[in-house]
Amino acid sequence: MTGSLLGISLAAGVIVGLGLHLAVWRARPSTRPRIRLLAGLAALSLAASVATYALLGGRSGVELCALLWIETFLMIAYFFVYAGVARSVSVTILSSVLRAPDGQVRFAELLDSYERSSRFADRLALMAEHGLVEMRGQRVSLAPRGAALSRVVSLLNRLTATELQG
Amino acid sequence: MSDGQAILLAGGAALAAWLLVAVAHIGSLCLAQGARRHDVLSAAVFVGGGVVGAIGVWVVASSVPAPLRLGAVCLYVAGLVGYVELRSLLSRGYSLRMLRELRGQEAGWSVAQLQERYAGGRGLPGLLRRRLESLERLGLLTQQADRVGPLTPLGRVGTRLAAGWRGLLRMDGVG
Repeated sequence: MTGSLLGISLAAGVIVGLGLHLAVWRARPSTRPRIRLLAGLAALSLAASVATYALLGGRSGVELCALLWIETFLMIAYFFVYAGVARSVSVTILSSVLRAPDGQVRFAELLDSYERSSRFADRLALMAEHGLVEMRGQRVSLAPRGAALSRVVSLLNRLTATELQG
Repeated sequence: MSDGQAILLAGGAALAAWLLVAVAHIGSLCLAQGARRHDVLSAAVFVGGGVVGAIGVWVVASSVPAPLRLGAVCLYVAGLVGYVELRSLLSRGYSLRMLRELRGQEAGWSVAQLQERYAGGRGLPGLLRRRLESLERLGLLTQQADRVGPLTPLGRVGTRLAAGWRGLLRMDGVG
C-alpha cells in the first residue's frame, strides 16, 4: 500500500508539473529560458504530490519526506535536461548536422549560421534586462550587478577547480 | 527509532556522501592539474566515488524504512546532478564568459567586438571548435578535416530526443 500511495502521489505531481510546463511553453513560445517560471511550476508539482498524498489518506512524516526527496531528484534531473534543451550550443550543432542532407556540414557553414543568427544578441539582451550589462546602441558594457556576478563566478571557479572557457 | 531520527539519519547520510564525493573530486582535480589525461582521472574519480557514495548511503540508511532509504539515495544523486550542472555552467557558461570579457573595459565594446574577442580572442570559431571536440570525445559525432559529421548512432538518438523535446516546447532559435 505504501509503495502504491507514494507512486500515485509522485505521478500526480509529475503529471501536473510536466503538463503545465508543456501547456505554457507551447501556448507562449519564447527563446528565453524562463527558469523562474519553471521553478514555480516545480513548486506547484511538489504541492500537487503532497496534496494527493494527503487526500489519499497518507499521514506518515517519513513517507512524506521520502516523497519530497524522490521528487526533488526528478526535478533536478529535469532541470539538467532542460538546460541542455534550452541553452546548449552542442545540441544546436548536433541538430544542424542531423538535418544536413548528407549528414555532414562544413565548419564554415556552421559558423556562418551562428554568426547570422540572433543568438549572441539575444543573450546580451537578456543580460541587459536582468541588469548585468548596459546597452547603449550597439555598445555594451558591464553593469555593477554583472561585475559582482563575474567576481562570484571567478571565486567559484577557484573553489571548484574549474576554468571558465565559455 | 523515531520518525525524526530516521529522517535525520537518511538525510545526513545523503548529504555527507555528496560532500565527500564533491571534495574528493575537486581534490583530485587540484592534485592532477597539468597531468596529461586529467579529464579521464576526473571522470573516473567522479563516477567511482559516485557509485561508492550511493552504496554508502544505502548501507548507512539500512535501519530506516525502505521508502526513506530510497529517498535518501535519490537525494544524494540529485546532489551529484546539481554538482555536474554547476561545474558545467562554471566552465561552459556562454553568457558568464561574456561578462568576463567585459571586465576591465570601462568604455565597453561594440557587439561585433565582443563577438570577436570572446573567450580570449578565440571568438565564435573557438567556441564551436571546443564544443565539437567535446562532442567527438563523447562519441556523438565524427569530424573529417573541415567537415563536421556524420553523427554516430548514439549521437543520432540523443539529438533526436533533445531536438524533439526542443520542438515540443517550441523553443526554436535557442542554444
